[in-house]
Amino acid sequence: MSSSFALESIHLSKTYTSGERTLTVLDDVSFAIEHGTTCAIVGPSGSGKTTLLGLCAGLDRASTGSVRLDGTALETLDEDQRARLRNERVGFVFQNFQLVPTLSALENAMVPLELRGRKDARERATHWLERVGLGDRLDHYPTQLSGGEQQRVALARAFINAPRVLFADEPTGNLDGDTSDQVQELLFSLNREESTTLVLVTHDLELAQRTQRIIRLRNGAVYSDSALEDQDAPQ
Amino acid sequence: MNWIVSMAWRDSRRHRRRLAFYTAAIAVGIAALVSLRSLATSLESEVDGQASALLGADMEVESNQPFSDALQATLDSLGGQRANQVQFTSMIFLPRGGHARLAQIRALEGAFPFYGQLQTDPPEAAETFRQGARALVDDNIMLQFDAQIGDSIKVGNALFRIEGRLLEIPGETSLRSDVQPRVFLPMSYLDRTHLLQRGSRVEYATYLKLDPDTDPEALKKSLRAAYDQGSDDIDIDTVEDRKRQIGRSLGNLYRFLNLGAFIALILGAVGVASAVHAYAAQKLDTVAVLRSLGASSNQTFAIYLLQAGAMGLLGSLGGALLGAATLQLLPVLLRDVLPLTVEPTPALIPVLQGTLVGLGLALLFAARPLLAVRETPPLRALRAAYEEVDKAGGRLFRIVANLLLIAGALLFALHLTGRTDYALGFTGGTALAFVLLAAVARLLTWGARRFFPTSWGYEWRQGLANLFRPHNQTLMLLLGLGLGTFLMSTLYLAQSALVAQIEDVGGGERPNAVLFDVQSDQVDGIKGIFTELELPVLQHVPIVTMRIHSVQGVPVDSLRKERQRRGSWALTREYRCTYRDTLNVSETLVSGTWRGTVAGDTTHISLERGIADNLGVSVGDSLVFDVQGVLIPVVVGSLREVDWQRVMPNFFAVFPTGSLEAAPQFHVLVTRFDRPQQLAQLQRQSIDRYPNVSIIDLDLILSTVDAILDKVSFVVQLLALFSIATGLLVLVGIIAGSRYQRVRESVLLRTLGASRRQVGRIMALEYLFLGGFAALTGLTLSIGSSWALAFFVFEVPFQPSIAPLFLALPAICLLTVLVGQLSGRGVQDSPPLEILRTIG
Repeated sequence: MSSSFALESIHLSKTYTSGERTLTVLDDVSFAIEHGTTCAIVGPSGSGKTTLLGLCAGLDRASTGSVRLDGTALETLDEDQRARLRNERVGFVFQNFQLVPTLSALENAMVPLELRGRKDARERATHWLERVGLGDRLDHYPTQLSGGEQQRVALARAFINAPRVLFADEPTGNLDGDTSDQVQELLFSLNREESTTLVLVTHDLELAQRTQRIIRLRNGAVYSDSALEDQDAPQ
Repeated sequence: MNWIVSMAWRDSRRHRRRLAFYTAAIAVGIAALVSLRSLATSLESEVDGQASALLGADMEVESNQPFSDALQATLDSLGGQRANQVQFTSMIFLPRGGHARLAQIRALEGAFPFYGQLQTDPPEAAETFRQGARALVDDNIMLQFDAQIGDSIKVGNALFRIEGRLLEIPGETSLRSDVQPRVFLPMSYLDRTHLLQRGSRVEYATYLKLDPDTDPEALKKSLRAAYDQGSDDIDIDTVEDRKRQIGRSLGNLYRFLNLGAFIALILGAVGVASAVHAYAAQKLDTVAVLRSLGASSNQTFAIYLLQAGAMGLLGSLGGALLGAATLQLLPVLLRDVLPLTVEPTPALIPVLQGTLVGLGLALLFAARPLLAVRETPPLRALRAAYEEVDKAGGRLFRIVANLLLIAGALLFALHLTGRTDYALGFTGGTALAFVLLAAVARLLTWGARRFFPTSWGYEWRQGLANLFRPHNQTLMLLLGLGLGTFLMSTLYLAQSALVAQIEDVGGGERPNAVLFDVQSDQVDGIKGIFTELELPVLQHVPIVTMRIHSVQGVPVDSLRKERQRRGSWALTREYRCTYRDTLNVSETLVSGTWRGTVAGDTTHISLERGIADNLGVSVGDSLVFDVQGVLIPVVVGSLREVDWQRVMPNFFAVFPTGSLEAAPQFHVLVTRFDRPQQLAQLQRQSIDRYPNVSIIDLDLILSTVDAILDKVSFVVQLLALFSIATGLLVLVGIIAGSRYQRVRESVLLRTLGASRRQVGRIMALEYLFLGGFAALTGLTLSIGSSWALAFFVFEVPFQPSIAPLFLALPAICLLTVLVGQLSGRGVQDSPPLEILRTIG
């Protein structure tokens, strides 16, 4: 199924119940992101950014509302169907890299393709690790790599399955200035070359500025959306 | 599937050392299982062999009349070998000293005993006496009359040469009140004695050594169906019957072996579960990442189950081989200690069985903690602390996994014991202990939080707070340590109850000399000799001989004709009864009321349950006994269970005091001598003054029983040790595995400036609390479980030696703290950064 939007959030809400208290983390969030564009979701700590990312990527279920990822309504899928969808159409980059510590760099990058049973996983992973500049570190384990190197392995892993949407959660949050710049460069250039839709969660405004669109969250609701502001602005 | 296999392989690479413990837990459990089971099999066949020797044949057919032609023809038609014996009581006469006394004469033809040997002095006399007018004479008679080999003995009208002293006869294991010294003659010389006349009380017996393919029990049934009525009235004894007679001790040995195997394996399984639990907890982040990359929950679960299965297979195989090797070594190691040869069984089948059982149990017990892997949401990759679990879906899996666990343990127990009630009891008991330990863990967590001592020092507060803080290991360690302690302690207590019972039956303070045929006017004289020789009067039992005259008003003769059934021997036999006002230690009242003295006009007697069944009477029924012509009407007042294994005069019928005092009677006196000289002096003095009194040296008669009971008691202790060693290994593993939970925290504390000593103390205190509560709960529960085992399974009195438990409590606390400290050393000694990077 294809759609003009890579990602649609329609009246999305998420509440948690703790004892008798109900906590609303996201409240009626709606937006749509077009294919091949880049978008940043920004907001202060506790504004619901990461929850929104989790719902959009199919890592969690919404309390109400709907998420359409590449045209597929996530709430109609069970957990295993969502896992397959993630494997085929989604890429992830996490703040704390989230490499599997017991796998080498090469093996970490191979995982998404191996899950699909692809025979060429090793060649593709080697190719991608060379592309991110780690061709000589294939057999190193995460603990033997620096933070920047680990995040580059994560980028290779994220792009290897040619995702329709790439979700990045504070991708440079754990990196120092120079390394952060290098990883940003790599992220945006790969994204351009692969024409992937990039959804970025960050509170780093400088990083957010590099995207085509910025959605600001506050207290679980959309506070501002640059796309809407552009439309509203006098021509 | 390929991906799952390769992921399982890759993921295991950096954890092999930790997985090694999990493998070891299975390996020791299986090693213990295989060696216990194989040893049980070997011992069983060994004891089977010895049990044949206890009867001396596969089957004994006995009657108090000569066999009918039809029965004789049937016996002739059976294959195998036969031996015949005619047995009766008669006076014997020793011409050299001019002594005479009553003895049991046995005329023998054929190669009896087929199993075991007549023990004689000289040994060859057991064979040579069969070749002429020669006799084997009970050592007691030889001692009593100072007779020598080569002397003559007169039986009836015939003279025989004494060929040897008779020391031990296969099958003569149980002591009843009618033991007489025995004299063996060759059957071909029996006629010369002219003792077999009409009316003599004679027992005819044929001993059979059956072809290997004949089932003695089936043959017994068919013989009974065909001949146990009418004129033959036969009694059939098989090896199985004899084994039953040896009593509960051997049955208890097998039950104990099975309990030991069950406990060893459940201990291994507890080790598996706790190792996998700790391992799975470390893997949840990885699982979340894999899930976010598109792996399904089944795939991630399969990765770790596959690892568990592979390690389980490896551990089981290693354990099975280790067990088989131990078994091969046992005969060598125990040659001087164990008084029997254990033939190592072919190793392949127990090894395969052990491997399969181990694999099955490893998967079952690993699956339950691995459910955490299945339930880990992918969102955890985004939020490390996110812990919400898909509870509704997970609950179903947890219930299924728990049911599978219980079913697995139940099937295993059923396979071991072959009895549903034991299997249910073993499994249910373990499950109950599990639930109670979990309850104690919750109570402890709640109590530590509710009554938190804010005034304590920092380290104490930290140690105690670790019991209830998030990621606490209270439940896990209390379950692991508590269950381990519970199982080990149960086994130990059951073992001590069993050994106590065995020693009680065969043990040091039991009587070893019995004086028969003491007349009423000789009792005081004999007691005087006892005092002189410093011998105790352990028992003084009056005996009155009688027969049954009628049952419920119907005379015995008409009953016999009417009933035509098995057990009519109970109607016709001669009863030797006693009277007293108390039950003795070998008796247990099973129904009715014990009446120790005659009250009113009715005499209430107590019957042994088996004989009451044979007579077809129960409490309230009436009997009339014929005491040398005087008819005594009685009512059955109670039924007793009698432990015939006890070395003491036991009786089918016990009268109350005040009923038989005036009847003609003789007395039995029971004593214990410590030095052979005491016995010799007793014999000399009593022969001079009371030549009619015969003295039986029980040590001679009971040596066979003793040898077996000694073995049983040794094996019970050895095997308990085996399983307890397994348990200790598992405990060490559980504690060592739990340290990962505290690594990050300890490192943080050190980063913040805590000294190694402080971090060490906090950990030590936490382990002290956990070890203490786990041990206390486990030990307390084990007192209940071992009582249940003693009462329901082993049917022995519960006399636990509680004292060692008081030692076990501090020992387990110390072990917990020590192992916790040792396994934490790596954390405490390395620079914090290094550890942060490795666990990152």
